Amino acid sequence: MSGIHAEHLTRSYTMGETIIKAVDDISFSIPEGKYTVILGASGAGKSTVLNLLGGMDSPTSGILSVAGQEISGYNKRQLADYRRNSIGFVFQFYNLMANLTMRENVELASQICKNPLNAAEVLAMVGLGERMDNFPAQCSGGEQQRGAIARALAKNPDILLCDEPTGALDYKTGKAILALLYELCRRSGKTVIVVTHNGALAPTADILIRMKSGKIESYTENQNPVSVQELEW
Amino acid sequence: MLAVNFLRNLKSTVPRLISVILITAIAVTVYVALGGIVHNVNRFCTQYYEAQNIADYWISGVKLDRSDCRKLSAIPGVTGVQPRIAYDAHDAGNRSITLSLYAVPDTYEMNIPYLVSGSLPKSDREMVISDEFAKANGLAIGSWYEIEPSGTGQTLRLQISGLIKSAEHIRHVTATTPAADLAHHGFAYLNDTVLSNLMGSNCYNQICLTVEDNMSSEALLRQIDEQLGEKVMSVVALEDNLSAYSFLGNTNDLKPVLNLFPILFFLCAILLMVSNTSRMIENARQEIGTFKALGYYDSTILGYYLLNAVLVVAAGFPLGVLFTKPLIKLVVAALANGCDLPPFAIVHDFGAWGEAFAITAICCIGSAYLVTRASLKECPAECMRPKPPKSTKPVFLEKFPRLWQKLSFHQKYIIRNTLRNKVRMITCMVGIAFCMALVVSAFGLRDAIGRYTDALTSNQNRYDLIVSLDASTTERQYQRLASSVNTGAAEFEMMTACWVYSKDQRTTTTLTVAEDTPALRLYTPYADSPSALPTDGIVLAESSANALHVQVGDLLHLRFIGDAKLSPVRVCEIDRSITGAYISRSLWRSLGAVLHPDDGIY
Repeated sequence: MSGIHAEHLTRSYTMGETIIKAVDDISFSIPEGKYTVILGASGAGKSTVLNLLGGMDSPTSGILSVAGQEISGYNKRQLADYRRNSIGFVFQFYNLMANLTMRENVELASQICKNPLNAAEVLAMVGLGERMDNFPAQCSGGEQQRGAIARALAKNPDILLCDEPTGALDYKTGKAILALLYELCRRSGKTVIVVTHNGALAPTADILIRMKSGKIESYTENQNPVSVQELEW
Repeated sequence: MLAVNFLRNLKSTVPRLISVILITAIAVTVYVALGGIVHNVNRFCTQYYEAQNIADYWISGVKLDRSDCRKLSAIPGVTGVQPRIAYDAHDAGNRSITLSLYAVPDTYEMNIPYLVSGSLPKSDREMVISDEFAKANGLAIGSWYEIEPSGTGQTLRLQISGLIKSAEHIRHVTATTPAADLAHHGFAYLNDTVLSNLMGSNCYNQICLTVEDNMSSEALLRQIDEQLGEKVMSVVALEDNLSAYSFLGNTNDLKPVLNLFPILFFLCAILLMVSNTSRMIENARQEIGTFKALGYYDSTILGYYLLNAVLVVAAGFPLGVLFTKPLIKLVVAALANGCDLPPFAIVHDFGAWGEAFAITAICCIGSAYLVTRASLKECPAECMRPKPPKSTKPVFLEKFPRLWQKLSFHQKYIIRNTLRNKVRMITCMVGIAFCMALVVSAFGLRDAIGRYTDALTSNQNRYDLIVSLDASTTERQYQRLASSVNTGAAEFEMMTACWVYSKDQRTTTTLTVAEDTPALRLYTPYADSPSALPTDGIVLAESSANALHVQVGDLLHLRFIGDAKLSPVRVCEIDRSITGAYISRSLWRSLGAVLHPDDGIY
């Protein structure tokens, strides 16, 4: 089986006597190469799902398999290898190293991977060809997010996970970033999963998963997704 | 890239680490320097003693001869025997300048003088003399020197064939010269035929022994007593020979202090390292999460953050050892003050270097490892989130609602925050406690030593003058001294040596016969006022009591030189600040002994 398969996935946290289920018994599948949007309000469990998919957290129960590998049973070392070779993660607040240039930030991620892409080429691909020797503090928010995307892409991952990639950006910049991610998905055929609370982005997804209170409210396969450029919100 | 990130982060990291580097350097300096002091002194003294074949025991007695030497040679464990005549002499023109003479038969095989220049005496008209004494008194090789052996009225005129130092006179002190003063009180070695007319031929008053390392001193003393009987006045071991051993002994006495201070400094270093590392890890929480998210292994991240600790060791250790040699030289020179030593070089104690490095690495890297490892247990998703504060349990003050409600919001906030981070608070308290322990220990040492010297100089010794009396001084003569004009008070003391026997042990000791209530020279330095010596027993030094395995109330027997009689006495008091034993004049007389004071105290 290729793609992503989740069966009865649960992630709960214990706070004293209270048990909080961030993800509550969800099941879904995401085929390979699809642009997927996970939509929901704050606290719906979207980021938790992304963390589980990215090997950043482990489920309390259930099965999660990616490209035929059951990652829910991985130990720490195996999860680290999974994150290293299979996943590219884009964070809401970029999480770039302040003391490294854009190029060095990308190399920080790519130098430990098996089949990395060239850092300079990836930075040029995302439009940072002229800024690769600048430090993050010398770049705008949009440029930093592009740098973060380049860092994720340079690892040549199977899956690109983006947690609210436009959350810290203005409308125009955010749209440009989303367009970039959309194009990357189409061009490279990689699986791209974007978490957002912005419902206006729903039409762009090949697969739309709506979440509420830790459960999947709806799972929709969109046969005619709309390009990000064509959307206004 | 991790290394690049680390090096660029150093700018913000190093200022914080400087305090840890400095305390680590101080800990290394203290450990290596203090250990180096003991190492150098031990090394020098061991080599010096071995090269000069210093005796392990000095037996003083009367009418000792070659047959006694043969008896002692036959004792299992005795490896060398040397008879000699030990005699005091003074300068023929100045009675205040004295010489301790050692007339040695045959060749110098034991207590070999260290030749500074010249040669050992070849005839009975030559002698070798202390080089410091010679320098102070304008003597040189080839000079003729006239001396008078004490109490003989004879004059000896001897030529100086060599200038020497002696391993048995490293700090040349005697009963009458407690402070080393080689300018006025020197020593010399000569052939035994020079003094044979004083003692008679084949007659000596001292025999020196060397023994095997594992020889029991109790067994040896028993054998000496059995073989030589009442000929023996005293048996002094090397460790009890102040003149020979005090330099080494005083240095080794510092060991407890030398062990304590480095430990305190290293504990301070651990605390600082733990504090700095935990703060650094807290601040780098999100960075750690990012590393994990990118696929870096926990071991790699651990190594990255331990680089700070490695930096502390790499900077602190060399900085620490840099100052050790000058410090060792300074302290050894201070310890050797008043000592007469051949030149010796201060060497590095590389063993201590290795130990200090290992301890530094364990303290710094080990403590940082424990702190960092605990932080890496969280999964990447948790690291990306800010750490939640600890759950706020009610503090104990909240159990007193009336008091709690009177506090302002800020006061409650401060109290809660302080008590929330108990580990940090305790760490801070312990760190301050260690620092205070160091400061208080240092002041305590100073005050203790100061108190002791004050007790000696102004409490115990209340006299203006001590006059050493000849053994032939009559009672009428010393009573006349006591009633001289301008004499406010006078007391007399006599020191003699004797064997002391307990139930199963024996030893020789110095017995001081003092006034029944000595008031001008108290027998213990810490007494508030003159206190009477017991009339039914003796006051024994703690070291002698331990050697004899006796306690207060136990019975001892005394035997004096030339007398087979055993005199029973009880141990009435044990005091750690006296030497030998003290007995009152009344009790001494009741034993049937004659009083020949050798010190008049005014």
